[in-house]
Amino acid sequence: MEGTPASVPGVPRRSFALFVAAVCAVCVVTYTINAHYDVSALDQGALITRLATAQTGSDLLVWQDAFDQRAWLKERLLDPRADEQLLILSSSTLGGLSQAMFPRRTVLNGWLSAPTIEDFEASTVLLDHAPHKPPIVVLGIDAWFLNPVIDDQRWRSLTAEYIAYHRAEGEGVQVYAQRPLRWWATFKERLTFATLRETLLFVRRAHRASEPISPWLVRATPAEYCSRISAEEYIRTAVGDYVSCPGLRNPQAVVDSEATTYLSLNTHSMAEWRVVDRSRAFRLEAAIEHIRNDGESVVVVAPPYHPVTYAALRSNPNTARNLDEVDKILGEMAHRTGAEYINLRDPSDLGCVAEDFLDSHHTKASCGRKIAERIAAAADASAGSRQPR
Amino acid sequence: MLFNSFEFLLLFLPVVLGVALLLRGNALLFWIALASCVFYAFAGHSWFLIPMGISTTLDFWVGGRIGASSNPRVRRAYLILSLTANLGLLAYFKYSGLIARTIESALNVVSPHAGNAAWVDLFRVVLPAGISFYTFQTISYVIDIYRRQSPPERNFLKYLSFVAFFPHLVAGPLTRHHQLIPQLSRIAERGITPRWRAALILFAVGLAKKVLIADRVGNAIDPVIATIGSQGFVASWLVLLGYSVQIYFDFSGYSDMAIGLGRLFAIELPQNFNSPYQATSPSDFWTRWHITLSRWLRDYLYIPLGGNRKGDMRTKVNLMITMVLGGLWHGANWTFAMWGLFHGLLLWGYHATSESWDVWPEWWRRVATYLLMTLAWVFFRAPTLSLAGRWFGGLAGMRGLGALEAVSPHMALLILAAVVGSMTMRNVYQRDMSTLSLTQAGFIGAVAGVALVMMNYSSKFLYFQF
Repeated sequence: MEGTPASVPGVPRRSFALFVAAVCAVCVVTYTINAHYDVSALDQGALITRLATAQTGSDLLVWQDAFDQRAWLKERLLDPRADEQLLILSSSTLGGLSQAMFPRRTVLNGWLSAPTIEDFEASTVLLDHAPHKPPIVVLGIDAWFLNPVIDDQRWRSLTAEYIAYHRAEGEGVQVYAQRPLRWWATFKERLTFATLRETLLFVRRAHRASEPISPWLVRATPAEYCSRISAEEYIRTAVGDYVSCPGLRNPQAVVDSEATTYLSLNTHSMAEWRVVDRSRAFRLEAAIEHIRNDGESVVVVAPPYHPVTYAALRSNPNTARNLDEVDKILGEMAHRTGAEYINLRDPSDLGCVAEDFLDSHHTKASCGRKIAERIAAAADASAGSRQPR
Repeated sequence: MLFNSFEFLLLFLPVVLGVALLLRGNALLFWIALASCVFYAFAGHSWFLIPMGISTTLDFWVGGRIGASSNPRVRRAYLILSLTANLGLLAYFKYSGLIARTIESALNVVSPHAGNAAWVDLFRVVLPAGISFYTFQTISYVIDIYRRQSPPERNFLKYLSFVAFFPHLVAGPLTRHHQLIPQLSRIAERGITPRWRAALILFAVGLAKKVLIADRVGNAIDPVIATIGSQGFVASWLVLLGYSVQIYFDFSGYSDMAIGLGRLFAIELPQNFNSPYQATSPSDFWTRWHITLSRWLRDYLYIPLGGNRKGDMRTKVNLMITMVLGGLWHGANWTFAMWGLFHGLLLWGYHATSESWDVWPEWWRRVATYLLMTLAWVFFRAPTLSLAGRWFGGLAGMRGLGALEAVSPHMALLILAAVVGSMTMRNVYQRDMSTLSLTQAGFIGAVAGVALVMMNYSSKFLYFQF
């Protein structure tokens, strides 16, 4: 077609106006609903801070969705009453490690949903400002952490700390772009159907369960609260570990199925993982150095996989090569920074079997206790190296 | 940066268009070229600009030299230089992967670890998005000057804008210089008067095709295609129909968006699709599918080979060469060559039987053509020839009827509805938009709004890899 402007038929002005109005209406409705319920927890910081401050040892912080875990961690680390001896910073893969698994140390489990390198960098600033610095910091580094395809914006809850970290590292004005980028990320999140769908599902669940639409505190033991609910919720104890209600867990057949399809369904983008992100590894090493320079011991942990999942990852040449490279990088990084590194990726090293897993990569308490024992042993070993570097 | 992203729609496009509206002359051309380069850098890697820069600069210079010379040998030498450089770049970036894989396999036969040699990595290169498109554009520019069919362009900014104009840069439509450069001259002289209504409605239609149909269907069928070697009759056919829907709505959606964007800059890009699944013969299909590529292959490959001027046998051979090379243009894989060969055989068969074919009722010819074209997609989508063979086995029922559970019923309905719709409904270029009613406009707007908020589910366009 040798088209010319004159050959293009025009759309009537009124029809076009209605077209534009319809586009805008869909966008405005989507944005408004998403912003009102905020199931992505993008603007929950103040509420979570308030709840975390009020949370005592006998309270559970609960919500139907993942609330702003960063705000909770920030409040806990900056709490003048804090006296933890061991801090866990990881994804939910180590989120089930509870105080009961560490009989000789007080623990703060600071697991975060989908942590990225930015979270670890920002957390070092939180530690700098913490009235009490936990002498041992455990960093849980999942296999997919160094997969460049993996990206998540939830760290933006700690934008101020992220900026402070990079300013201290001597970086320039580009760091300040993070503030408008946070606004932009929030805007996009609220203008998406994915959020709208989650919001509508959330509202329906909350309505049926007659539960509040915002996170709230419950004075109950985990067992008591689990007996009251009929569907899984996000439950965080006062020391930070998440609670998985035994009666609401998936049957073993479902767990095994999830473990089997982990790679084929491209969970954590593992199937499309081409190269190990060395720039992330470099930044992680800098963050570890930062923590070590404050005199804290660091234990780097590679959390375990379900045996079937692990076997699938090992049998795939691409993921096997990447896992080996990640483990080599982490081992060398630990050696250079004076951190301890324990590679628990292979569940057989721990003696964990399929029945010890909640899904392809989350452990039950039975395996969690074994992880905790290994962490405690590594923490003991690193106690002598707790000098500032 | 994708057309179907908030970054493009809410940041890049408003800024680029807003500034462009204020400019005239070389400033406007410079701005369009600069914006296109930024767009291209964000389409992948910033080094993508290097091969494009080499190709563009060389052909601008070569075009000038050919135009300035009356010595046939000099002209031919410059032409060969251009073709060698352009096709060399294309071959390196596009076919080195195939070469590396072949060499590696051969070495591994000799010695188990020989294929891991470091030099093999030299051939593992990322394919710069759009290189197949802009290379063909610049080649046609040089050839047309060589043929004395058009004069060389004197203004480099205009030439760069022609090559890099971001709406068509990454995945077409494959636009010729005589289609675009006069329009660039016009807007440089008079400024841009956007055709908002025609542009935005077309863009919205394209966005909806991509996000609401192509991506939804693609997400549903991709896991099944991953196990296509073990699927039965029903699933094999359903995902094949699904793929015919996905690739058509994906690529034609992109083309609609590109043309819509062009209209915002008062540029009319060539139409690339004309309801290809309504074709009534294999020959008719190629006048409707990826029209700009078909015409390029006709003008710069088929006709120079002799076309149909050198006897029946030579015509068929020329057809085969054109279709196989056209297939390989899509990627360095023997499956694409087979796809081209399959189409060549269909065209050959049609020309041999057209007298009896053309007497059948139109609806029969349309359905038969659709099924033949759809069968060809097996070669296009299957990662290897052996898997293509197994897919054909499933289509022939060699693994039994199988079950429908691989694809949900509502997705199956969407696929079938999309097939029927694309075989029967008028396309957006055939409709008289001046009679668009309020109801229709409201409906298109609502659908476009839904497509907008579903963009985060969206993926790259299939033709970005070609």
